[in-house]
Amino acid sequence: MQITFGLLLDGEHGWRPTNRLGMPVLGPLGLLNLLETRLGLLRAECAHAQRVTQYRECLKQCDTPDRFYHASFGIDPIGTSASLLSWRDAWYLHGWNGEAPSGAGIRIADIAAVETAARSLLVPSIGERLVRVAEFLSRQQSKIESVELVDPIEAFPKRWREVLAKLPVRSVRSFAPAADANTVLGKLQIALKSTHEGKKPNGKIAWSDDGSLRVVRGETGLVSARWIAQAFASRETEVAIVAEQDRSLLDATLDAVDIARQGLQDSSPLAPALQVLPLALATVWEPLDVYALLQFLSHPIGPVPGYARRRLAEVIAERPGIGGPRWREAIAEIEVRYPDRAADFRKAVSFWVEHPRHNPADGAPVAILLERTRGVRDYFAARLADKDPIRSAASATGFAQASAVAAALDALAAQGESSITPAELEALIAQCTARGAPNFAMHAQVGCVPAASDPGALVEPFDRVVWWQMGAPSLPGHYPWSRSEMDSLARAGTELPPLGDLLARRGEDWLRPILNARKQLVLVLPPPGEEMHPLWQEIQWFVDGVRPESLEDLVTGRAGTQLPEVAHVPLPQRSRWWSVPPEVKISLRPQESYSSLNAFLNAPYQWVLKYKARLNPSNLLAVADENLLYGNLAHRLIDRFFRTDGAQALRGDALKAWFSREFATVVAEEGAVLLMPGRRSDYERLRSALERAIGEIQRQFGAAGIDAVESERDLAGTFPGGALEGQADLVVRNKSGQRAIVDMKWSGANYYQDRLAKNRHLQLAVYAEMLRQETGAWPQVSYFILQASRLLVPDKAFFPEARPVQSGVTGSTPLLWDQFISAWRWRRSQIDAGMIEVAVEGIEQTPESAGPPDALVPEELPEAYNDFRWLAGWED
Amino acid sequence: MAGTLRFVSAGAGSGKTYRLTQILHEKLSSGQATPGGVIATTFTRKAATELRERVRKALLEKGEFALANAMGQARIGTVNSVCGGFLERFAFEAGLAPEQRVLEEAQSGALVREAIDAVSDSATVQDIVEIARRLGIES
Repeated sequence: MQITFGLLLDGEHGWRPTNRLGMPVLGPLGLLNLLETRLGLLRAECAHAQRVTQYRECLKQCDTPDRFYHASFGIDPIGTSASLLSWRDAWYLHGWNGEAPSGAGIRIADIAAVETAARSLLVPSIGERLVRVAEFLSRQQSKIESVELVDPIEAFPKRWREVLAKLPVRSVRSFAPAADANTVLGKLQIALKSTHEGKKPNGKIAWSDDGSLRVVRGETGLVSARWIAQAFASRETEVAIVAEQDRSLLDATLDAVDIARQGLQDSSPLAPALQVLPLALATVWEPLDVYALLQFLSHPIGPVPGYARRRLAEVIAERPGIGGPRWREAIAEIEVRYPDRAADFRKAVSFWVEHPRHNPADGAPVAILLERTRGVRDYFAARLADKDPIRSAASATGFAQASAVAAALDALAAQGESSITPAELEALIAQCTARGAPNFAMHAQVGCVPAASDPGALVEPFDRVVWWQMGAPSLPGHYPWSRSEMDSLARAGTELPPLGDLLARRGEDWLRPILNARKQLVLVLPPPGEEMHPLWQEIQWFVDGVRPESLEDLVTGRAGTQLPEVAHVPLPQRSRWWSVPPEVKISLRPQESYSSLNAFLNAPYQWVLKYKARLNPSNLLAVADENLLYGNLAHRLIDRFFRTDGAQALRGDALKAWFSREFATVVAEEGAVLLMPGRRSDYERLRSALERAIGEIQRQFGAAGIDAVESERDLAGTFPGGALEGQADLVVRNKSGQRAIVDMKWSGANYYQDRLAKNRHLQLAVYAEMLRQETGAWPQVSYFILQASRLLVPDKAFFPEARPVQSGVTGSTPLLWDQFISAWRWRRSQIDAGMIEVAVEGIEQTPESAGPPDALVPEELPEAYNDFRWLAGWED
Repeated sequence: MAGTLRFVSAGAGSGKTYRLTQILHEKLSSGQATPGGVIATTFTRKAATELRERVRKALLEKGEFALANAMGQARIGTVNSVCGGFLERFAFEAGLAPEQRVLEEAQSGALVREAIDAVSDSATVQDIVEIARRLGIES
């Protein structure tokens, strides 16, 4: 076997693929795995998070108040364990013997003390595994014919050097200038190599556009990607690419223009499959995290059956809480709809949603978390064999994450931990998720070229090298240890390379794409304002007069090479009227409500889009909150008040007791967002407002001699357009048998007062007409403003204690209804003629916008509530 | 350098960054300072980027290639990033969690509300709500 080995080659493909057996190109993980396999040292893989958990136990066993990590460990045991584990693993890789030499500081002494526990509890680190490999190589043949190093031997950590000393290392690859020395690129290669070898620069290079060096920059990454895609389309020249940053953007652009994807995917811890477990575990805490539950239920992947998930998510969004009337209705509805799956559904909802929750201060039982984690793991396990390879791969990442968390929780349980806090759980999941997963739908395709995410992984010369988004690179960080600690570690065998050496090494790595370009080097700089790569600054210094070409000039043809033109397609322009072809008939609806009639009259295009085209916004975008939520909760509470036998007669402490009990229940079932941390003032404000509102309703109804109240009263009737339906908040009757409709609004006292004063209370008029058709008499109408505890009426005839709003029009509600019917007929005739008015602010009215004199004049509806404003067209 | 504190105060665009890069070049090339011993903070990422680039450029122009590369050791960044780095570096001494994050504005607002909840009880909040209502400052 002939091996090519380099520090940066794991997961890369910065070399030509060839048909060869027994000649692998490997990075550290690849070679370690190969050696352990050959030497019979393989062991079951241990996830990083599991090692963190193991080390946590080691730290815990040794923890005393005088340990340096004591306070940090108390606050963040998982994070502290992960951090200190990375310390000792790095020390071992660089040769630490596991001991604290005399005079070592407290930190080294403490970590060395922890090693007594780690020897039996912790799965070995890479450094420790390399020690074992080196031992075995001393007495066992590796059957490796040769090893070629891509990096100089001194760049390898000590434990690797010890292993390499026992392997047949035949050569170390050197990177020499590959371009013609007479070109700008060739001269640059020689100059950079010489300078990085410590020689003084030998003058500058005069820029000439000989095609060997191109430097381009776009105003946006997308423009750059589009240009690169065009350059890739021509396969005349052999190309290799270096893409350290914004990799997904480049691949998505290649994909969009039908060029083979390179598999340049950025991993993300927020990959869809990796969100499921964190969300499933985020809902175990008290109080319920409503937002997490909505995300869990509305997620496209999840263990609650898909046919039920969305429906339940809708309920959570609209009525945030579990167990309320809407929740129970939804459960019953799903069971009726899927009778053969009802049992499974009930079980899933009970397990994943309606489970007991735990106080964060006490922590959640590890056993419970383990059960849920295994549930997620099993869910993904059942999907590993999905016929769709993308779904199968995504399931594999979810399965791996859940398995790692389950293993870590198992280890905690085995260590005797009975509970875990939210912060610990979050840290544990983060350790198990690490960098996350890529988008599996964007894997590399046949025709992809050699590519490297690290410049140091481009290890062969290519005719053309493209360095995509050559921006500021990540640099090695400072060691977190003091100089005296580093000295002590050195005395314990640890050979940590100085930071200066690491930076110089990175500088060498950056040179590889430059040196490996034979005919052309293309540097794509990031957009202006982003930090430049230090190597680009060097190139600028050397090549006198080199300037980035503007990609905007290139792609628009001003500088010669032009991208194919995309035909301009303007967005639809705004127009006050839409015209429907005669063959398209917009028919009547069998039933209308106040809401639909309001749109029909005032914004016909909204009525057409919403009720005829059935375009509706998602109702999962947000959890109901603030005024919408307060209004919903108020309606529910007052409905319960009037449906509770004897509640209307309650006074004083009895009323307070009823209110306290019922308010708490209603909020828990349908307003749980108010129970979340930080919402106490909102909760108390609502509570105070509703307590006052109920008292005021009692007072007003008492003064009016109300002897019957119907809450959430269904209403039905007819009008010239067909059937009408609706539901009045309250229909009350006084001792004389007269009725009144009370519509409750959370806020907007001035607005509704204005509605009554201007005789535009259409909602009340629609309800009143339906009640008139049922009883033969027009009822009184009123608004009750909950936040202000104010009852608004046209006059005091029915409610003597209410605030009258003088409209100056006798018999106002019947008149309003007649005006509405006239307006409806006018609008209907327009729609029958195929004319739909786009009544939107900013589009001027036309003469056709005015109705007949006896009709209710249309008014613009608030834009904030217009879901279709972007469908009304765009200005030039 | 010990005991020396120098203020450079001047208006925008008058050359403070230029002067700073001069000072850095003098100290670094004379060996009075090492790249790892430099701390420079700015208020914005853009300013931090510009400072890093200008220091490197100044060193390259003087032919100090190795020094320019070694500037990766200098702690030049925004106040948040440099001080955040120190908080992490000395987390154990300070008894903090080893990983520190700068909160988004919305997160910090939520935490303040949670903190207020943690130190107030319902009765107190009810009193405040009632006073706010009477003063007409409910929101």
